[in-house]
Amino acid sequence: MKKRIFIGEETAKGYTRREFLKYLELAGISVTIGGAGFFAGCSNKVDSLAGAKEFITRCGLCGSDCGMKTYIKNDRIVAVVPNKDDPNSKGFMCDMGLANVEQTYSPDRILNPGKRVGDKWVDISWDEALNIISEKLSKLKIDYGPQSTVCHYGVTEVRAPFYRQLFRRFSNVYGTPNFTGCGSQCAVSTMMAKKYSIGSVHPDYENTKCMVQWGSNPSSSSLLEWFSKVLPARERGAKLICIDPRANPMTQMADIHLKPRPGTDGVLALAMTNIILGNNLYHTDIAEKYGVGFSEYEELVKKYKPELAETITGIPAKDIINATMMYAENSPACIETGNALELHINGVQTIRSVMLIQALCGNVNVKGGMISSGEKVRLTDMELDDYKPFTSKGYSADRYPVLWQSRKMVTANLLPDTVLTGKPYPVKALMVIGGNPIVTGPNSSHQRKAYKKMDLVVVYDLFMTETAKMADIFLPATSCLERDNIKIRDRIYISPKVIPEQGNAWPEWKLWFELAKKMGYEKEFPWATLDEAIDEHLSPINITAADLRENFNGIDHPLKSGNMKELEEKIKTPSGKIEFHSQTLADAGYNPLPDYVEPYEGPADKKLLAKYPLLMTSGIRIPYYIHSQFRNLASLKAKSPGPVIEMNPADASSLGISEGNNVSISSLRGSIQAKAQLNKSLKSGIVAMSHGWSKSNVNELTDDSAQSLDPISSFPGYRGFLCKVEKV
Amino acid sequence: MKNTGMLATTVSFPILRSKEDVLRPPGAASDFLSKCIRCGKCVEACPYDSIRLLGADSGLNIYTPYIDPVKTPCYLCRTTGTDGKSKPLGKYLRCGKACPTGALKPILNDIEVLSKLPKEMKIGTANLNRKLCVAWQFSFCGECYFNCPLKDRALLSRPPDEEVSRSGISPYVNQKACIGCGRCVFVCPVRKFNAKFINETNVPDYFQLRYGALVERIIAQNRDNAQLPAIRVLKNKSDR
Repeated sequence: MKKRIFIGEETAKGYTRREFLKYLELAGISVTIGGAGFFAGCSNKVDSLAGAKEFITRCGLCGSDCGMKTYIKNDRIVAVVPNKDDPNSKGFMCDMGLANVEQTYSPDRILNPGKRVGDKWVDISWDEALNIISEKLSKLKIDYGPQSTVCHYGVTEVRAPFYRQLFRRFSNVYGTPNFTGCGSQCAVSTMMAKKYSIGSVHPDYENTKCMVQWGSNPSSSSLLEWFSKVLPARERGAKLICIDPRANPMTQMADIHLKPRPGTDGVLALAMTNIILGNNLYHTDIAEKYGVGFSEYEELVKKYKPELAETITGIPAKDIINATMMYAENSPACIETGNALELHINGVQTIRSVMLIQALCGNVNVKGGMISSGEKVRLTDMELDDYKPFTSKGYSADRYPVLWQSRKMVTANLLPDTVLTGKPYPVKALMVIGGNPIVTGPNSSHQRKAYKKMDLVVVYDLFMTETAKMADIFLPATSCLERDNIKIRDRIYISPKVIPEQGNAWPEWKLWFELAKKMGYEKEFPWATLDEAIDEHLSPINITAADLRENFNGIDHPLKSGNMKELEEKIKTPSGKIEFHSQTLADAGYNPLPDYVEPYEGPADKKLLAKYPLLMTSGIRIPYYIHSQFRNLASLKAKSPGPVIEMNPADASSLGISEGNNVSISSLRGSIQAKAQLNKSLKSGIVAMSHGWSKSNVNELTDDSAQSLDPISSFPGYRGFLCKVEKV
Repeated sequence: MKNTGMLATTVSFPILRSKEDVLRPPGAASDFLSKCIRCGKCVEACPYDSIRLLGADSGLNIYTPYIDPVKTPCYLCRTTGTDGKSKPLGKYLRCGKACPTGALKPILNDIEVLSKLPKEMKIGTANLNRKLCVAWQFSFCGECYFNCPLKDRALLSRPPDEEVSRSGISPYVNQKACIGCGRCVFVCPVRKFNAKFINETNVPDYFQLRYGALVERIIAQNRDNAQLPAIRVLKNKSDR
């Protein structure tokens, strides 16, 4: 063949020479071109992998724990690929998992503790940092009581619940009742709604004949679940009903797609119940034998005819009927609800009414419907729940009694109010572990004011986030590949770390062990190593950390002994029955029945609507970011470069806005800017934005006033508030 | 004439029998077959070895040049400068410049010109099958979009006028601006991964690991209807 005249962008060998050169320069960064990473290196032909050892672990960025193969040379990760042999993920990994290497070696990472002096950050040692924190916390305890310190956990909850338990242990020993975190806007509302209706159950995708995804978009938010559970169910022929004001990759393969006005899902659920009861499509024995309060509920639901639901939700009555019939006639069926249903003032009750549909149609504790995992043997309580009675109640315990009683949690959403008013008592210190509430919490400017006022703010993170910028002490965190992760679910397993801690970053458990020593809590934190703590936790089931390290795929968590059928069919509500009427809610002063309530800032408020005519649903998910994370990683940014506001094309054109125009978005709280993107799937009057952008932070627009929060869960109304959009 | 070259490229491609299916180098005149004297100068001129010669079983097309993007796409005689930007190797595309008979016409190597090429000078047009596309099915990938030399002109990150709410890349071919160079085809990971195919298509192992699980699902979903890869350069009736 002719001699090569020029070696340009690509050689006939099929890898990009440009990539290859760049790769050798930046060994360890696995992504270069564009978004998906046309990566030259990971082939056994390439020199740079020579001598690299393969270590198998799991990604720790979200709860999916996708299997991962890492290639390590000289304690440095040179490549990361999905593990085809992982029984759970089977070779799946999302773009974020692949960007792990970029995150671990990002030049933005802070690898040493710091103290803020004015506007500048000064490097200090861990010893000095922990001394400052322990001295301050001890002094505050004497001057204002332990309740003056608030403990806030962020994403560590999802990534590493065991570490959150150590954090709670620390806060219980210190004596503060004020433990909060991402549970103020995620998952806890659903847990409460399920607890006071049908019990803690989840969809059985493997056997289901019909799935309803209600305010849930796993194709953008729960990628492994989408790939390994929802898609296969669809391929097997299960029906798919999507309920979402907006089209997404999943709705495009749905049998039925209903688009309710954001916040009106409760009416839709009650109308569906009305149709089911009216057509005798329900199991009467469930209602009568296993239910409590059915006749009250039946009475309530009578007025929610499909025509009324059409007026409120905007969905044609015949579509509501069709969807209901499809659900009722394709059994067993399951309904998955998402965070979107939680984030309205009517969140808990809405989800209750959705769950009760499933009970009525005989889909609870049934194969192919909603199933529970069976009660497991209890492990050693690491949080020391009963350490000592608190000397004060949590600062929001009175306002949110069920939240306080069921989870001993306060709401992060009222932190600014509490700090700035000094009521019910002074709050002076805050520890934020792996969270970014300045960006992801409601009413960001209000949050900032509160942070400025506090005496001590400690942030533990990898990067200088907007929240970290407001801290007094910054503590450097490890990335998930630098840290052992233990997961305790149906299976218990350890995902081992593959590289040492970078710089002076510490894993969370080490932070608590060492800070406990400074505070004099050696008795409560007696362990020398992480494994010793794990051993204590697992001792009731005779498993040790060493066992887990030998069995990478994990060991099953043993179930409580007893009749297996009974364990799986037990209804995990306080009464042991399906709760149409919840006595727990009634006792706390809430409506025991899941009636519908209009969202807080919505089109029903005509005066407000005149000034702010568009209804915003914020927090739509992007499969390249988790909340405010990863925006500094080039490969992911290439796929989703900036914040946009999605608008109905007719609405946009009536405002003189074209695709790509810079627009300002304002609400009663403030104003931000973003680029406009036209989305035909949105009905007129609806706009949608993603959250987590520090420069176009949609939480500058959201509300944290007590009357705007869900009275049961305290969750903010991110998914429906009024705004106006203007061309800039 | 390079004998080894001809021998090396006389591998038969049964699917390329009819004239319509053959992707010619850029600049092929409408009467290409009558003008081409099978001299092989375009093959020599190509800096990337993209142009190959058809074999004996292609009938009248024997020893005429063609491009198979799955093996090597046309790089439009461009490379990447030290600043990371695309830059041309010369004023004209080399194959057309080298052709002695005008079977291939010389084309100015300018992005503005290339994206407005008259139809007759196109190699072909990229066609994306969304059912086979990892980006459309799963919201991952986007390789074709990032590797297109006419990115945001020929290959867009979203369809300009459809009801979609997608994050990330949902590749859309603007058929008017696409030259059919096939770089998108070359990087599309949706292909059967087996040792033979890897050697033929030169897709790095990384692709198999990165996209394997997703591609297997796509192939299983589509079974016999899967004409891989997801994006292919086809000749329209009006192309030469």
